[in-house]
Amino acid sequence: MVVSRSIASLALLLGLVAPLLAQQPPSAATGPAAAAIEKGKQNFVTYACYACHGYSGQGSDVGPRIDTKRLTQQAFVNIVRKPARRMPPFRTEQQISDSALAEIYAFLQSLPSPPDPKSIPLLNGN
Amino acid sequence: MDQEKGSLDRRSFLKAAATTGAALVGSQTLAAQQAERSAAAAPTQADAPTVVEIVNDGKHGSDFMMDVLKPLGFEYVTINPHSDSGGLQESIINYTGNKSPELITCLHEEIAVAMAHGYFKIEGKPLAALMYSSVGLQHASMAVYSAFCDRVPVYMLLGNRVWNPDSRSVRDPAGLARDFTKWDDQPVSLEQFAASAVRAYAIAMTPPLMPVAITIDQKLQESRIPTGTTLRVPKYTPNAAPEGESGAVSEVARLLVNADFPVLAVERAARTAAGLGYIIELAELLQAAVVDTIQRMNFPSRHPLSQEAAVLREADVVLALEHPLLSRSALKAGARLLSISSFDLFTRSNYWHFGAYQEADLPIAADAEATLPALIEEVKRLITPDRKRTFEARRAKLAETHLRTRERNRVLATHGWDASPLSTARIAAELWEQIKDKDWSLVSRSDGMSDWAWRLWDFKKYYHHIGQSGSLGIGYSNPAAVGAALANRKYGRLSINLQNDGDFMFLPGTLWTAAHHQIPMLTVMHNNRMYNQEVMVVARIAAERNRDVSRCHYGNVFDKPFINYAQLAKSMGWYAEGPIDNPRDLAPAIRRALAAVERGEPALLDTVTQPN
Repeated sequence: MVVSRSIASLALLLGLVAPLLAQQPPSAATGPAAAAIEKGKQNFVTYACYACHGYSGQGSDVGPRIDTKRLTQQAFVNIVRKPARRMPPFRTEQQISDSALAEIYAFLQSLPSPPDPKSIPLLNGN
Repeated sequence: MDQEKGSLDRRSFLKAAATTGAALVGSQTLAAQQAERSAAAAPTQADAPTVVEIVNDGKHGSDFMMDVLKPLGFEYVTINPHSDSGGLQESIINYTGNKSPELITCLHEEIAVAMAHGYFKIEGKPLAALMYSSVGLQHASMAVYSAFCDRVPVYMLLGNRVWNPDSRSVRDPAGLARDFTKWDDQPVSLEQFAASAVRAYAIAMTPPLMPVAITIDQKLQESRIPTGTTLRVPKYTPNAAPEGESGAVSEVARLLVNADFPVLAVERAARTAAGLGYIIELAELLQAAVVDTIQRMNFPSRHPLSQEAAVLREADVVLALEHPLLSRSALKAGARLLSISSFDLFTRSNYWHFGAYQEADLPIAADAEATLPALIEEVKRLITPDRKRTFEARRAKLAETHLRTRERNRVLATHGWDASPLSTARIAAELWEQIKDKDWSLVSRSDGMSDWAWRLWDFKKYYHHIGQSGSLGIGYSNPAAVGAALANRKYGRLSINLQNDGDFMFLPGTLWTAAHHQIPMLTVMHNNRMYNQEVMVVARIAAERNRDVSRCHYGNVFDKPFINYAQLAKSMGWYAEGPIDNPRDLAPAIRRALAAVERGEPALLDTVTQPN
């Protein structure tokens, strides 16, 4: 069986995660770009990307940080469709559309780069 | 009649250890060292067995049971009460004055056993857990299994009706947990109780350490002992731990000294603070890398020889210390795998906690900590000046690698630093800033929150960490943390519990016990509002099956409604704040919570976190 997502189930899911989404760092983008980023943020949770990579794609002990500053959108899509390592493959449009991936890419692009560790006193003591 | 117990006569103990042949191999000096170590951990016990003569009819069976149990040195008895052990409960309260042991009231039998589990990992001696033999042990069983897997002794007392059974009785109560206990008995007389109670303690405390159970009959507890009866409290002398055969130990030393790149792989190797010292000494003698699964506080987190698991692939000789699950597949082809482990000395077969058979080239069935002094002496004997120079060069390279790992962790910690929900690295860093100059103890697993505490904090003392759970069963962490904090209390240590939310909700009644018994500790929630591991598992399976990944949250997320852990904690007498999801609010909240802990209160911060 291939994907059989209902609108109702998606709405329920978005309802579950909405309070978390609301707390992501705001983006400076406006208009259609801002809308894409917002959708990308929601997609990032809907498709459980956050479970391994964190809500901001910062990475964890399970999944690496997603640094889209170093990836073209097509390279990003290729990794999601045919991951090389432990990441589960999202092979088809039925699982996640190219447009949804583009929105996720826009969201990740909108995130600020991590600060320099030297700028964080807590990481420079002992 | 209460017994007045003298302090342990160490000289007599040493003599006893030598004459019983407890130190099986090694020099007289090593045998004496071993006996000294055992003596240090032994409960107070008179030299000669105590004879209890019943000169009037004022003593009951459970009073005599306390005559037997009290000298074993239990500081506390965790209890979920029930009618079939009321006799012993009353004797604890009135016959021995609820002091050494003192009753710790628990709202679930699993709490009673898991608290004993955590307590042992700080204190190095068992607690007794008193519970109902039928439904009580059923409730407790997962905690018993965790202690079994984690090689921790818990001394269970199970109330039952043997002589006058009713609909609540059990023919063989301990049978329920026999797959994950080391020994049990159901005595039908006070004489048998005395012998079995002391034997159970000795068995539990002999490596490999494990839970034991003694069933106590209701009638035996409550009946008066006839005047003129003479009963005997058997003398308890700790077994010396089994040491490795001397020839095999010498061969291990030879292989380690001659190796190009030896690695020590440690799991439950350090049973005590002495074990931590031995592992450091051996590693530094050889300048060998140490790979630690952190099931115990085996090795300091910031020691230059502390390395990541990948270094195993470089080793030509690996010594696994109480690490029976280390697979040869983790090593490079041709590497020699040596093992010192008590695992094969006693185990059970039903639950597959033992994993795959370890194909060691030189396996030694013995307690690693007891064997290390002999191994260290042999290594010292074999090291030549040439080898020492080689070792120093090896140390320099390993120290560089260690520093690179620390620097990488520092960079990784910045990722999501200002994110909301809170980054687990940020929580660990904010906590460390405020506890690093205190006498702290991490009383929870360190493998949650992406290991950030282990990666950022300076773990070096044995009580800095109690290791992981053993079974990975959910429900261990909260009560084990409170048990460990109970042990830390008399030393004035600051107990820190990094608490997974899923685990927390199995036994939330644990909070009441901590508040009621005034056990100070700081619990910081890893509140990601889900069973994230399972989210990842279902997402992976759905993706591989080309199905709908977005439905992976069903059955795995508990966020509607959000559980308010701060309100829950406050309702049971804790100082609590939260939910906290703004990173800027974290440091002041930690400061206020630590102030509450320093006043002697348990405190909880409900921190809403990233998934990992």
